[in-house]
Formats: sequence, C-alpha cells, structure tokens
Amino acid sequence: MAVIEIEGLVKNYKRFRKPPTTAVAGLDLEVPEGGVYGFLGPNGAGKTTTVRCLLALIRPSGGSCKLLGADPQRGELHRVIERVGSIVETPALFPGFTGRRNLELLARPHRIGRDGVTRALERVGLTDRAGDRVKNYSLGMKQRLGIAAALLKDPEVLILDEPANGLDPAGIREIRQLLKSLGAEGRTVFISSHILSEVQQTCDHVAILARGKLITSGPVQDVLSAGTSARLVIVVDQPQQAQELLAAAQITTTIDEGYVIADLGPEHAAVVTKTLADGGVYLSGLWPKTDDLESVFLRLTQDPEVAP
Amino acid sequence: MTGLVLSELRRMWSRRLLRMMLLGAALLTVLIGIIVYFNSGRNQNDVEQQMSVQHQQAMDSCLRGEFGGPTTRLEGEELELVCNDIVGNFGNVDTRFHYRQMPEIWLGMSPLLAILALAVGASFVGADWQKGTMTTALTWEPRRIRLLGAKFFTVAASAFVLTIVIEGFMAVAMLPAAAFHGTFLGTNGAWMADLAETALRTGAIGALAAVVGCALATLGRNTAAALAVAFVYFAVVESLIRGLRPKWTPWLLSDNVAQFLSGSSPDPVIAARTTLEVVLVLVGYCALFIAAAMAFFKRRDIT
Repeated sequence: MAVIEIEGLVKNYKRFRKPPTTAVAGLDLEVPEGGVYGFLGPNGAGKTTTVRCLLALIRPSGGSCKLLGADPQRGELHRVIERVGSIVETPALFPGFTGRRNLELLARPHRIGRDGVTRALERVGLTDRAGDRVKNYSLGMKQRLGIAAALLKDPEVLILDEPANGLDPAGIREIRQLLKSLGAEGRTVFISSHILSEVQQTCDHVAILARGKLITSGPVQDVLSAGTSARLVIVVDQPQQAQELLAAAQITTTIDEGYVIADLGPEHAAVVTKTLADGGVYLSGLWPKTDDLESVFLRLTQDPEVAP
Repeated sequence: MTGLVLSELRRMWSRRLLRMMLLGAALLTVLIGIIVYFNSGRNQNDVEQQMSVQHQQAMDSCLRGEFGGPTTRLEGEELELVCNDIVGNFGNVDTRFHYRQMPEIWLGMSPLLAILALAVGASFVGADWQKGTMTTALTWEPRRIRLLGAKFFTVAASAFVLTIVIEGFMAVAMLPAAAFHGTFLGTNGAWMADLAETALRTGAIGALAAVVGCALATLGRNTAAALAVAFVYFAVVESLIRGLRPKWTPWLLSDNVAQFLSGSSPDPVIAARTTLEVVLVLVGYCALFIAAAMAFFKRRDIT
C-alpha cells in the first residue's frame, strides 16, 4: 500500500502583473510503506510546495494528493493526522518558551503526557537542554527539537522537510542514524532534501525532482545504476603506458586525475590484469566505478533531454 | 476541542507580554492607590474655608441684584431666599476618597483596558504568523476553523479575565485610601450589584476588543498591521464619519461601546437604544470580524 499518492499535482502561484509561477508541474509520486524515502531536488524544484500540499497548508492548482488514503484538499487530513509527524522547512517554535514547554503545548491536545515529551526529547538527545529557552538554541538544536515534536505522536509516517538543515557533521550523523532506525521500525520516513550525501546514506528509495516534475524514482541502487555504463578504475604507476597497452587490446580508456578509467564491467577485470601484466605494467589497485547520487542528480537535473 | 483550547490558553498565559502587562498594571494601580491614599481628605479644612468664602461672595453679588442670568422673583418673595436658590449650597464638600466611586473608576479605565485587550488579541495571532508557528499548529490540527475558533475563544476569555483582574488590582489598591483616609459610605448591596455589572460589562468590552484584534491580525497576518488598522479606524475613520456622514454615527463602534458601558452616548439614536439592542450591534460587528477572518484563514495558502 502506498502511504503517499500524488497524481498530476500542479501548483501555480499568482503574481501581481506578472505571469504565474509554476512551482509543481504535474508531479506523480508513490511512496511505499516502510523505510526511508528521499525526495531530492535543487532549490526551487517544488519539494516544499509538495510537502505543503500533502499537509493541506496550500491548495493545489490541479491534480490530487493523498496521505494515508486521506485527501487533504477534501478536509480529510484530520482523520489521519494523529499518525503523521512533520516538519515543514525550519521548525517553527516559540522562542520565549523552553524546549519542553514547546513540546508540552503541542502534546496536550493530543493527550500525550510528560513521559511522551521526555521520550521524544531523549530520542533526539535534547534532554539536558530541555529546560532552556528555544531562543538560546543553535539552529541544529532547533532542528532536533522540531524532529522531537514530529516524533511526539509516535507516528507511522514522518514527513521531514530538510531535516539536516543547520546541523553540524556530528548532528547530521546522529539524525541519519535516528532516521534509519525509525525507518527500520517499520515507519515511513519521507525526507525532502537537497543534501545528496544525506539522502544516499539514509534512504532506501529516492525520487528526484526538477522544475516541479519528477525525473526519476525508485530504490537508491537502481537510480544510481540507471543510465550509467559499467567502468573500471585502474591504478598504475605508468597510466600512459597502461592506456597504450589496453588500447592495443581494443579496450577504450580515459585518464582522469591519474587514474585509468576503462569502459568495461567488473566481469572483465581479469582481462585488464592480464593485458597490463603481459606488458610489464603492474596494478596497485582495481575497482568498479559507480556514480554517486550527486553525479546522477547533476546529470539528471542538468541534462536537457532528461530534465523537464 | 477542549484540549486545543486548554493548550492555547496555556500558551496565552505563558506569554511574556501578558505577564509584563499584568505586572505593569499591578505597579500602576499601586502607584495610583498611593497617590489617592495621600490625597484623600487632604486640605479638607482649606477647601471648606475656600468654599465658604466663594459662597459668601456669590451671595453678596446676588443680593446686589447680579443674578448671573435671567431669573423671576415672585412678588413679596425675600431676596435672600431667591439668592439661596440661585447660588446653591457650597457647604457639603468632601475631599475624602469614597470607595463607592469604584464603578466610575472602572468605567474610566475601560478605554485603556480595551486597547490593551486589542493588543493582546492581535499579538497572540500576530506572533503565530511572525514566528511561523501557525504552520506548526496546522500540522497538528489541520481543521483551520477549529484552530482559529480555539484562538478566538482563548483571546476572548483571556481578555475578559485580564480586564477583571486589572480592575481587581485597582479595587485592592484603593482599599487603604478608603479605609484610612476615606470612606466606604454607600457600599451596600445595590452598590455591589452595580460593581459586578460594571465588571461584567468592561470585561465583555475587553473580550470584544481582543476578538477584533485577533481577527485583524488574522486578516493581515501581522500584529502591527492589526494595531495600525484599529488606530486608523478609531482616530480617523470615526472622526470622518462624524463630520461627513453624521447619519451613520449610530453605527460607530465607539459610540455603541460607550452606550453599553455607561448608557451615556452623546448620539440621541444610540442613547435611545436598550442594552439588548446595543449588545446586538456589538455582537453583530464581532461576528462580522470573526466571519471575515475565518473565511480568509480557510482559503488562503500558508506559505
């Protein structure tokens, strides 16, 4: 069952004496139940607009979206909101209140007691600073408090818009582990982000958005391997000589930053080893070259044939 | 809904603005209480002597035939009796503080309290927009009318209580002046009823002002805009209407409020209205503001 279903979602913003801006242009997306789903896109791609549509904060100009089967535009969101925790952009909290007081104000109408608040604070590592006013928190601490707020309801679905914003490397790592563990518990964690390394290391599935349209989606490994040819990275002391030897064996290569890159799959590694050894060139290293999400993302979002 | 209202009430009463307001009001009323304490009954003899001299001067003038205006003297009527009627009694001057004046003091405070209530109502929702917490609130309660309804209820109830609490401060602050340098004369059961009615009426006006402030801040998504609109209405629009469209005066907010509080509107049409009619006018305005705020809040995107 899909937790999030988006069909042909369109959002145009009217502008005074100017043509409307299209933030989302016919987006189709299905987010399966369980695991961590990354929603990637450059700034202005329409990620936050999509999240706002899902949470009934803005009214789409066209198409539809459903969250846990409830259509936010038909006023059905309240039926499932108890099962959904969310942060939209920077978590908005009352700066004059303590972290704990902020959470208690959110928790009270939903009959979540002090224990629930304490658990949420523990989970994001904010117990020691729970009594401080939020205005004295760093951006990373505010972000963690926002995640604690999203966790208060012990939700089945977490929708987090840029959850690693403002976090230091240690904080990013903590949040990554937290999100992974939440996904492993069977929850669906939907993360919108432009930090590619975070998504690659955290998510099981990914969708890439550019200019309001979906470019690709699927399991992270499938997205990484799609459209890329297999290559081998060869490390030798004499790259020029190695290139000549491989060319003589009909193997196409390039030299990139001192490495020889051969247009061959890992299954042909033995051929490369033998060819070079026969020519008197010995390997220091050999491994298959895979694209990271950043390369895939840049290729997909900048390629005019792929990007909308 | 109860939980939502309780949460909003808790947030309202945790606000520093409200606490500072209460502290400021407490200090101000104590100061006024001290001033009244030291001035109550002060110079009673001097004032009585001064009044006696003025009375004698007025009588002398009258007896010389300077009546100070047209008057009719019946045939055979003694001039001294006529002058006694004209000049009146200067003798009963009491400079002591009379605790029975509390309802009038509260009525005098009510415009200031209404302005405070308007600011409380506007800033409660204005802060939500400014800090972005409206978005957070809607991710917990997506039914917008319900959420805004809870906010309206919160500001109305809080402003009602705040008004009465500040009036209570004043009543307490005046006790020493009345007890040691003044009098409780006339503070009987009827006075108590009058006092309670004044508290309820001023509290209701505070609640109305807070709701209007909250509605304006919802429409403008800003505290300052709400306060500016309210200022322009009371300082400019009402004056313009009084000058350019006097027939519309019976529908002005401030005149109806004055009639509701003290039954003393200068406008004869409003002065002829019963309390129920004035209440209906005020509730009607309030309903209009609430309806407009809710319609906008329901339709507009939260960006």
